[in-house]
Amino acid sequence: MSLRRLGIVQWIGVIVAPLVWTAQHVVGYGVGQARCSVAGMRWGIGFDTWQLAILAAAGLLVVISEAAAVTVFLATRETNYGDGPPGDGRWGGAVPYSRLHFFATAAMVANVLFLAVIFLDGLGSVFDSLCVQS
Amino acid sequence: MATAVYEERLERMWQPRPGVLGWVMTTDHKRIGLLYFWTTLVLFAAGGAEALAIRTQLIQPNEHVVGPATYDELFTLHGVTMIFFFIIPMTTGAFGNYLLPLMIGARDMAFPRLNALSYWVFLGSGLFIYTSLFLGMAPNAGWFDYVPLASAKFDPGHAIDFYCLGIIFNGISSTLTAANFIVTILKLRAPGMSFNRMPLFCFAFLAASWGLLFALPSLSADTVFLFLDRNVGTHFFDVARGGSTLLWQHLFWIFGHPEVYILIVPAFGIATEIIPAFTQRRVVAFPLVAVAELLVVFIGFGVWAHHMFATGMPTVTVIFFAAATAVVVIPSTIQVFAWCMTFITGNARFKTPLLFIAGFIFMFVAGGLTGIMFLAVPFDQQVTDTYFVVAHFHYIIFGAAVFPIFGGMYFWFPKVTGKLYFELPGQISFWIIFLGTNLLFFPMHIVGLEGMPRRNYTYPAGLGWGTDNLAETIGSYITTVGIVVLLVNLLVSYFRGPPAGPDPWHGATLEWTIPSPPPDYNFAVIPKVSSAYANWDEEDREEDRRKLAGGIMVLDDGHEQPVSSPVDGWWAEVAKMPHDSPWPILLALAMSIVFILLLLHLWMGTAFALAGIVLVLLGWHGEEPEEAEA
Amino acid sequence: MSDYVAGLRRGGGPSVAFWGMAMLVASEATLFGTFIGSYYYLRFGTPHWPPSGTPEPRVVVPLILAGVLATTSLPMWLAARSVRRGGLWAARFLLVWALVVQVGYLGYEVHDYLHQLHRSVPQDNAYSSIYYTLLGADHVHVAVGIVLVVWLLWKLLGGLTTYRLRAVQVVAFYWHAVNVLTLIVIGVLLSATL
Repeated sequence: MSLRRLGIVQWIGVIVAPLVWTAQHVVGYGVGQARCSVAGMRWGIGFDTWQLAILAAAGLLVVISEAAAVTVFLATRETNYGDGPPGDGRWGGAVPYSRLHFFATAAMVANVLFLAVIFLDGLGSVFDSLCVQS
Repeated sequence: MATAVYEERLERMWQPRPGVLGWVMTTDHKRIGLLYFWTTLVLFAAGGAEALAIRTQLIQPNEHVVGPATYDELFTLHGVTMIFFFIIPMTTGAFGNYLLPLMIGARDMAFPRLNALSYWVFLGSGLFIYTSLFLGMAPNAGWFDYVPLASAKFDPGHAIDFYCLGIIFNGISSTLTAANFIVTILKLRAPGMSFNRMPLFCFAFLAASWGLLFALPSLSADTVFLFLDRNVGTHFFDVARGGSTLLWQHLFWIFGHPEVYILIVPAFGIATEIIPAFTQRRVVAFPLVAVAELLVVFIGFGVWAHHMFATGMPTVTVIFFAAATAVVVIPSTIQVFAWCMTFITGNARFKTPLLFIAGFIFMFVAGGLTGIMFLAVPFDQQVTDTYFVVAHFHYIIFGAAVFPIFGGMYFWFPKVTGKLYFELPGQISFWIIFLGTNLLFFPMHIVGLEGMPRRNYTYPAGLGWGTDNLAETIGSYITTVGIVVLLVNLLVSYFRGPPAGPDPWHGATLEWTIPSPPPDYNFAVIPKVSSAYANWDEEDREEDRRKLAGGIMVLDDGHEQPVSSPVDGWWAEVAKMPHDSPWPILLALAMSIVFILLLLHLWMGTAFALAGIVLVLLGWHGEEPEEAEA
Repeated sequence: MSDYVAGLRRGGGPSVAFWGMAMLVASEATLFGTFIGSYYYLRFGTPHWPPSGTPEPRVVVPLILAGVLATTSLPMWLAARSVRRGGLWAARFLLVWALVVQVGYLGYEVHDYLHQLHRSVPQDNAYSSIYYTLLGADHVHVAVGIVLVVWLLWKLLGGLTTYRLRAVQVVAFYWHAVNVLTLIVIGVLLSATL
């Protein structure tokens, strides 16, 4: 993969999961707020449908994002970094390979966390009875 | 020697104006950092005095040290002062301003005059809020100022207006600082400092800055709505006319929760530079710690309603915030594990700064454990508004924000002053503070679980709370003694301490490569960077010395600063930076006038004052940089 | 600048000035985000929106006007492009074109705002409170944008420099943000008629 393409894939791996979770969290909360509020009760909002649909879309996108991060991680592991050994704990290495590797490593972990919170958000919201006060 | 020639040229170029005028017109990030430092210490003393008054009132049941109305003002001002006028300005304004450009190899912030403006606005907002105290109308509805208690109906007079306007005014200062930090970190890193070669301190401040930028607007909107409700007759929070009291809480906590991460993340940054220096080991799992700092702020934007679990929201809504709260713990845990592993696998020398970091980790873990407990909604609903919550957040704030601040004061004291502090009093100050804070805050868990409510000016006898409260008050006095020992130690060391030299600790980052105290221009030669631990890269530092002797990368043709690309640090251009300027303090003055006029309901006058601001801005932008070379 | 330094240059992305404006835009966009979130939060809690007695907003005229304002993004973008090539007179012309439309828009909107105040006031209920505040905030941002364009024209009287070039670029960016914001705000306020 060319350097330019590797860079794009790296950014996909980094940016998509946070954006997707933000959307799920805001829209999911908003749908719940609407459904259980005075005015929204009459709008026929299919709460569970919304939440599960958002969950499925979000989950899929984050899995793709994780795949992107892993791809870049593996692709930059083997590269000869030039002015510094890659795996020395220095994360120094030649730029942009070391930068790509750094972001990919970070994104791999972050995406797992986002996947976890997306599932907790989505499944948790449909688990409880609707509009019961906490 | 050629090196001295270049250093002399730079010194002349970057020299500030002499005397008071030089301080009033300064745009030097180091001077601004020092101004923040001293101002913040004074406000810290005020917040501490408020705390001592509170603790003295609570020393025994049915005390009469202060009455209920004064007590309300005390805990409100204590919270507002400690958060907005101590921790944020001390971490971002003092530590951030002084150290960030040094750590990235820059000569100043991206917007030096804006930086000065941040300080003068901060000072103005502090004076504004404390004027309310001297006028006998201090804010009194808690630092979170819930409606309807804070509405005009239940809190007439100007107290809450002081709060609303003061908070907005202070928020402007922090917003400008955050913007300045972000642009500085993205564009002014020494060429070669790609993101993966940036010190973890910078990641922490980048995270905190993004947090401030996106969280403060919510608080501004909230306080604007409240000011309008109180003074213009709108109904944002008025249930009878379609408003919502919960709207205040949502908007407040959408700011308020990220705010608490903003409080501790810079302190994480401080800790994460002290640890390598005193273990002489690179931090374990560098990319994970870096991303954890960003993640904790980012995910922290999604947990806000866990402060509202007792307000009767539907469970399907509540679950979103319980879920996010569960996950936000993990990045912090990653950092704690990484730091502990660095301790264990490194060569730890427990000098005073590292002692404070060890104390920080202990207290942060303790506070974090009680924090996790709150995500269980049924448990949260039992302990809401009790001292259990007070215990939690003081362990976190004092432990995770104040301890690193104290540690950082010791750590960078040699760099800022050129003197070493006295080690034995330093260690003593740590132990007194550590014992004092644990004695002060631990019993709060117990009385909280026993039901002692927050924000009550006294409590009845016979409930068994007296002994714990007595212990807490004694703890507060002990803590105060420890802090006094710390400050006296630093003061005496300033006058009597032995010379420190540039690098007493063999620290990891670029500030240790330059003299102590740093020259006005920071770096004589723009440093070569190959890793996040630049001071340990001997070859690069050798090459810098050779370059300086040859006049390469010295950039002495005016106030010059290299600009690089945001991600990979490729060299972009040379920028000409502004120098001493009267416009920042003038603009802060004009803004203060606007806020005073708003407080007094002089709307026409406000319009004129706004026009005045436009004129000042015209003057500010009348100065243009010398034409850059093509 | 020495050859050594010149040899290092690789191109650095958007300028410092641009990033500064991006920070302002991010902050203001978030502010509007909270206003809009508050709008819908209040709406969800109110069965009749607008409440009875408060007039619904007009749909067609505000939409058309917002669209007209949005067209000023074209001359602003062209002005930013022409200063990069040193086209000073072209830039001045384009800025004046944008300014005329922007001032006309704001003039009409202020007149309309005052006119609406005859029929309902912010002190009526939560709907009118958030309506007038959100709309007013948008008008303030348009007004600030106009001041910026006037300032640009004044600066350009003295000719073109790198600083002024960057100024035109960042003010154009500001205006793109304000135009998008205005469309969103008008959309939100008109959603009351749905």
